[in-house]
Amino acid sequence: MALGEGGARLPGTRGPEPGLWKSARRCSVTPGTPAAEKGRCLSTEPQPPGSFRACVTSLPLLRARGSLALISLSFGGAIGLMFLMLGCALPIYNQYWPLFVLFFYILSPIPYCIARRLVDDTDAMSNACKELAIFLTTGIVVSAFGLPIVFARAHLIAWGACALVLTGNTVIFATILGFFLVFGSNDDFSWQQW
Amino acid sequence: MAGFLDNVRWPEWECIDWSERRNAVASVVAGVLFSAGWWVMIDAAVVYAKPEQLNPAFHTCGVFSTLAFFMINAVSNAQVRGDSYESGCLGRTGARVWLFIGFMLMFGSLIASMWILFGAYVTQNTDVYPGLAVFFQNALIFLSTLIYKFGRTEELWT
Repeated sequence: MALGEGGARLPGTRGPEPGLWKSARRCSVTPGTPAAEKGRCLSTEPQPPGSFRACVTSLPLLRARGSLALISLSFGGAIGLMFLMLGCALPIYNQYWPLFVLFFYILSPIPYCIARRLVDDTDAMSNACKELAIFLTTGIVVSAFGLPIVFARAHLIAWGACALVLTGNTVIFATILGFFLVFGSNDDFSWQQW
Repeated sequence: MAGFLDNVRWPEWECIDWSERRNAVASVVAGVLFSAGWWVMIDAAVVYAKPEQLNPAFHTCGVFSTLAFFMINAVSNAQVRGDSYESGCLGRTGARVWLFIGFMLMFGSLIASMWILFGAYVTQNTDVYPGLAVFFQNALIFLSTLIYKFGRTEELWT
């Protein structure tokens, strides 16, 4: 490692710019060792300091994938909420009724999380509980699509606003599904993984 | 002549393994149908808000259909066959009676919705959409019940 006692950098070495990538560790694997053969680092060649590849290659592989997935999922969530807010706040629409779908966004992961926490994997009752959770989740998702349509049919919002809200719904639910697929499939659900 | 369609087969879709996911797919389809049924009725109640267009008593069919859905799906097939380890609070005969009452409520609501559609909307000279909404609500909940009840397997080892 290029750090000496107490975390002070040894003279003559350079690390990532302080404050920019605080959580990145330098790749501590020397080339030619068995750990390097296993590919613990993406590349064992020295990269130009400060470059993107230097930052990415200094992360262990799994953490990079987790971080990239998290960033892209949060981007998807932001885009979905952007569509929802456009459907409410554009001057030609200016109706804030569609914000009620936020209630369904928040409610949608709850049945599945409860079912996963509550039961083991090998019981017959666990399958019934998980299927009930899937059923309720599907009901919530369809309700989030039905609510803007009913608003538009009742002439509370315009059909253009309805279309924007439905687009935002699709993106948000794809994001939530992606979150569960990427981060939810290991048995020990812990917050430490990223 | 008899059996000339015996050798007709569906095209094979080997790329997706359905046997592992059958229960999840059935649950999703049942959820979509159930909530679509309720949202059709909500839509009709919002657009046709006057009592002479949609009598509030017609919501009864949907309520009883939903009650029947939960009654039918509360007992597992194993309880009805008498196969499970513990007998539950009703036993095998009680489970069968429960299932029977549940199916009676379901069929009764479906028939009542058809009666409402034809008796109160098609034969009168009014806009027929609320009657269609009542009928589709109950039909969709009925289909959802069937798929949720019979589309899932209870075997632990497939």
